[in-house]
Amino acid sequence: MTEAQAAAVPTFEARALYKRFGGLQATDGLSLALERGRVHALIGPNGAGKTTALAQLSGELRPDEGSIHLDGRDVTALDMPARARLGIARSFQITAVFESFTVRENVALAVQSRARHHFHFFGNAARDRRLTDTADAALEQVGLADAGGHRVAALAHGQKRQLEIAMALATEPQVLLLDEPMAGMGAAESEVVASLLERLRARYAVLLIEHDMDVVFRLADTLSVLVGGRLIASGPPGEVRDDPDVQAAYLQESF
Amino acid sequence: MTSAPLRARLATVVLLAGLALLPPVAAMIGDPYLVTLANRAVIYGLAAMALDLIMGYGRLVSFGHAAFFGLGAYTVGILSTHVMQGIPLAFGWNGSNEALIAWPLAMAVSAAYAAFVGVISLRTSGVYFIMITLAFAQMVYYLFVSLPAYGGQDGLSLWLRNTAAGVALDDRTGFYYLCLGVLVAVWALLTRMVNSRFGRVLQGCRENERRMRALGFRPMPYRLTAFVISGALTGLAGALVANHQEFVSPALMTWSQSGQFMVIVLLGGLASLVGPIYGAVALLVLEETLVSVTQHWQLVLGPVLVLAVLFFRGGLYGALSGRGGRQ
Ligand SMILES: Nc1ncnc2c1ncn2[C@@H]1O[C@H](COP(=O)(O)OP(=O)(O)OP(=O)(O)O)[C@@H](O)[C@H]1O
Ligand SMILES: [Mg+2]
Repeated sequence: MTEAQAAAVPTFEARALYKRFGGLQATDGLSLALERGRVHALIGPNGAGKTTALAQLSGELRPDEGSIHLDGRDVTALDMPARARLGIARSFQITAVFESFTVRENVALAVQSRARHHFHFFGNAARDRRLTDTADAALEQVGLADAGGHRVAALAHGQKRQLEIAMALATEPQVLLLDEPMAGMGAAESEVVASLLERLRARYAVLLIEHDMDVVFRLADTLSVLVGGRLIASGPPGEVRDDPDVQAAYLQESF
Repeated sequence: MTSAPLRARLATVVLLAGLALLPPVAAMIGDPYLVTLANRAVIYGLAAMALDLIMGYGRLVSFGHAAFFGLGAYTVGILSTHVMQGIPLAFGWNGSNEALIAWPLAMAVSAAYAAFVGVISLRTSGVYFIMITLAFAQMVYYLFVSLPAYGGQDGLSLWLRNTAAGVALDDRTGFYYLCLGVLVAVWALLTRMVNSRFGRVLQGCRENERRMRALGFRPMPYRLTAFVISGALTGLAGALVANHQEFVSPALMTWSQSGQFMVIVLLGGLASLVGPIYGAVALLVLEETLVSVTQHWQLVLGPVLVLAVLFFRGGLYGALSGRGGRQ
C-alpha cells in the first residue's frame, strides 16, 4: 500500500456487518468508519443493536458477514484480546470491573496489559511505580484521584462508571469504543467525562454510544442513527438531527 | 488484595510459633505421638495451600488434587521399591532413595500430569471443571489400584525413608522440622507470587474474565501455569506424606481425599494461603477430639464442617482478619 492510500484509509472501519440472533437481525448491513481525532456518535432506540455492533467491532462477537479493518488491515478474524493488543479499547454498558480489587489495582491491571507478557512471579505489583504512577494519572484524569485506595465494592455507581473509562484510557488505545459511558452518572461526573473526552479526542478514534443528546451534540463530529440494526442516517450532527426519517423514528420510539 | 490486619498477623505468628515449639513441648509432657500428628497437619496444610493458589486466587475448583498428592507419593514409593528390590526401573536405573532426586522428580511427575489435565479441563469452567478434574483423578486412582507390581489396592511399604544429601530422615523431630520448613518456604514463595504481576492477572481472571479479555489478556496460559505450580507443590506434599507414613496406597488418591483438601481450604480461609495451615490444624484437632468422645465421630464431623464453612464464609483466617464475608 502506498502512503497516499494509507492516509486515505480511515483508522477503523466496519464494512457491511450482519449479525443474526435466531430470528432477530440485530445488525443489518452496518458500515461505519472512525478516524483519529474525531468522535463518531451512535444513537438509536433501546434494542436497536448498538451494543451488538460494538461487540463486533471489539471482537467479542464474530459478525455473520462483513469485515472490520484497522489502518487498512483486516482484523475480522482476531478475537477481543488480539484486537485489544492492537489498541482497540472498549468500555462496557454494564460496568465490568474487578470488584474485590482496589480502584488503583483495577487501573494498574489495565496499565499492565500493555506489557508483552505477565509471567513475572516475584516483584510486588503494588510497589511497582511503573504501574501505580500511570494508574494514578489515569484516575486523576477521570476525577477519581482520591479514590485510588478504595475497594471497588465501596464505590458509588457513578464512580464505577468513571473507573470503567479510566481502565479503557489506561491501555493507551488508538480506538476507543464507549458504550453509554455517562449512563448512571451524576451531572458533575458526567461533565468531568465529557470535558475529558473533549480534551483527549485528538489522540483517539472514538465511537460513542450515548443517549444524552446534549453530550452527543457537544462531542460528535459524525452522528449515526441505528434503528433495527440498520443505519437510517449518518453525517454531520446538525444535518442528521433535521433528517425527517430520524425525526420520525425518534417520535415513534417516543425518545 | 489488601494486607492482613495486625490481629490476623499476630495469630499467624502464634500459630507458627506453636508448631515450631511443639516437639519440645511434646517431649516435656511425654507424648511424642503429638509430633507425628502435627506433622500430618503440616503436610496436609501444604497440599491445601497449593490448592488455595488455584481455588482461592483463580476460582478454579479442582476436585482432583488427590491425584497430584498420590502421584508425588507413589514417585517416592516406586523409586524406593526399585532400590530395595534391585530391579531396574528404566534405562538400567534402579531408582533412588535420595530426597534431592526423588522429591524434585515427584514434583515433575505431578507437574507433567497437571499440565495434561489442565490443558483439557481449563477449557471448561464451573461444575464442568469440578467434574473433569474429578474424573481424571479417578482414572489415576483406578490405574494404581490395578498395578500389582506396585501393590495394587494394598499399596507399597517404604522400606526406608529417603535420605537428604545422604542424611537419613528417620528422626521424628528432624523430619517434622524439615516439613515445617518446606511449608513456610512455600508459603513465602506463593505469597510473593499472588502479589506479583502474574498474581494480579490470575485474580483478574477470577474477578471478571470478560474485562480481562477486553484488556488484551487471554486467561488460559496464566491459569494453566498456576494449575501446574499447584499440582507440583501438591506432589511435593505427596512425597512428604510417603516418607511420613512410610507407606503409599491408592487411598491417597481417592475423591474423599480431594474433598478433604477442599474442606481444609474452606475451613481455613479461601484466598489467604496461610488459611489452609489453620484449616489443617483445626481439622486435625476436631478429628482427634471427636474420636476420643464418640466412635461415630465421622457422623458428627460432617455437619460441624458444613456449619463452620457456612458461618465463617472467609474461614478461620477470614474471621480473624475481619473479612468473613469475602468468598
Ligand atoms: N446474545 C444475544 N442473543 C440473542 N439476542 C440478543 C443477544 N444480544 C442482544 N440481543 C438482542 O439484540 C437486540 C439488540 O440488542 P443490543 O443490546 O445491541 O441493543 P442496544 O441498541 O445496545 O440497546 P440499549 O440501548 O438498550 O443498550 C435486542 O433485541 C437484544 O435483545
Ligand atoms: Mg446497549
